[in-house]
Amino acid sequence: MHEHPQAEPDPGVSLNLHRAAGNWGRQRGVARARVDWEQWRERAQAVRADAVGHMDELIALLSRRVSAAGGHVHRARTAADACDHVLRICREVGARSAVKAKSMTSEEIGLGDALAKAGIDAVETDLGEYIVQAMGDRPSHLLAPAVHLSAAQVAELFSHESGHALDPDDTRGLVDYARGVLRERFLAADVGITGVNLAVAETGTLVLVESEGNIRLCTALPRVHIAVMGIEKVVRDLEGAAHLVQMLPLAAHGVPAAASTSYITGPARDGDDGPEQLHLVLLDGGRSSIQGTEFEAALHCIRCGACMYACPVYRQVGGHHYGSTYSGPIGAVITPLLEGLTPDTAELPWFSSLCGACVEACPVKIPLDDQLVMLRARAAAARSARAGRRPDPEGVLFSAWAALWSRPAAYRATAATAGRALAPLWSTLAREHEDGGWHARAPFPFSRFTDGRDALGPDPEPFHVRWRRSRG
Amino acid sequence: MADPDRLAEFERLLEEAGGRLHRADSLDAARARARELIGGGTVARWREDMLDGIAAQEAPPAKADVSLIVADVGVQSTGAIGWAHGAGRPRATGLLPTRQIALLARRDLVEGVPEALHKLGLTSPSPPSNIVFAAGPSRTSDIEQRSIRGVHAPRELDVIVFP
Repeated sequence: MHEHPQAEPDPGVSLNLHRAAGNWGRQRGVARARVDWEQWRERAQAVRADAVGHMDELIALLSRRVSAAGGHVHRARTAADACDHVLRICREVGARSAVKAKSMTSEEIGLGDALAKAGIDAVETDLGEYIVQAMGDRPSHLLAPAVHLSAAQVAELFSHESGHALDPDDTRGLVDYARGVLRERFLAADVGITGVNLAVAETGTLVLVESEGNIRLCTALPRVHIAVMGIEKVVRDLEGAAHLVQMLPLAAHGVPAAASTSYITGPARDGDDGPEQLHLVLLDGGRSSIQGTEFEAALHCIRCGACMYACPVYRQVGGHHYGSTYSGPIGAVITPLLEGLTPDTAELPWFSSLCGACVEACPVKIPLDDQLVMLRARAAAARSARAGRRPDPEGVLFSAWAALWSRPAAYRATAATAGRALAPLWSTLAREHEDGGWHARAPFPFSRFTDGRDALGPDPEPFHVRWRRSRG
Repeated sequence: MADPDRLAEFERLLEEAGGRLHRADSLDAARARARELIGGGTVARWREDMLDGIAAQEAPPAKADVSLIVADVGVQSTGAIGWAHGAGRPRATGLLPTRQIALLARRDLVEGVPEALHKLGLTSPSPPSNIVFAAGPSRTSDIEQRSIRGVHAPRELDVIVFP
């Protein structure tokens, strides 16, 4: 059925993720005590719905305002177009080196590789992203790219780089080492490349939110600033932006404000030490094809990462197994929408238990569970279409099961029988694994289901029987 | 919210974010407090009258120990201070040194983010090119979720409020 070949939990990754998710859970409790959370979500959703509903109009307005403030705007239909714009700008300004601040959009378009191929020495400056880049790895979470790595791995990397032994328990020392290395890069770089958290159409202002200060350095020291943003990040006005700018850190970390928030309107003006040029690259990358469909709400995402920590599947397997730039519940929705249902993306909607924890965590109330179900239906329909007139065995099985168990009498009659019949079979097939889970090995074709899963056997006494008995 | 409560709430959130608040009775007292905090450190500062003559030893931002700036606004609901960059107010000043000191006039403390953006001129016909809000020092928890203050931007933030 739909097990991803690589989706086996890695104990180290899982430990780090559980710690991160635990922190997030506590922070979330704090966040909700600070504000009227439900009312804030309603308002945030309204701001995003207005923006995405009027995306074309607002992007046109944003472009005019950015230009009026002295910035340059570049439209990119595809990821390749966006990379081309960035490379062309780098060539035009004679850039040799660039500093990059963490941006999922630049990850999405593969900008790091494009810069490297063009011979531009570009370094990631967010600490987690720097670690991931130096390891030749990929980020595994929207906000915490190195959440899957241990301090020991980081210390080993930095010790190797620096030629000095660094202590994994001295986190301060590890951070200071990276700070020192990157400071030199910031001071030498020709171009600073960032993403954008929000762009305010009415004022032409780019809003960037961060913890470490590397975005401020990228937009202060180099002579050219290039910002790459997905077109859905636009909002209408400052009032809406002000609300989202407070919602984002609350949803992500449970705090009322990020360590730094920058509002950038055009390049530096007279006597200011900032960049001489500001370039805004507006990426469509499949976004406009989602607008106006039943999936439009997926574009409301503000990339806070809350759905990831809330998701039991993400917490178990981590971000890498999704095999896509965006992971977690939002990644499982947005990736097939942006890239189409290809063999690489068609399984993503099954990376969910449909428990709905992501929906409850989402600060802009995206109905992720509904969208996952709709995508599963699409993927199944596409599979049937490919199968043509040949019957799809999975479809036949599930249709028959659904028809049978939609009838209470048939359900009651067969559930108990099935349980009794399967229980002895299960006890011979299943065995307790060393990790404490129960692994069953059913014969083919059922092995395709049981090979990748912990499988608890059926209870010989079905729930409805126990329920009736317990209620007398 | 009543006036003293506004400052108390701002202080609570600023300190929760890892910053420190100092109350001064006058601008002179605030300048004296800044001088104490600087100690023997070298200072990078903005060209603002109220900052003249505080620092004994000045240095460019990349070499200074302490940065000295004026906060244009404080935000009660977030505990952040905000400022606009421009002529005489370089971006690098508040960014490169490991310690930051900001002077904030009591009357510039506002209730929420929208008022702060308005006060900083973002709603004016020609808004400043770059506005920054800082809520406490820079921080990271990228290594095993361990919280560390001071990454690329300052490690310590002192805000001195004066009438």
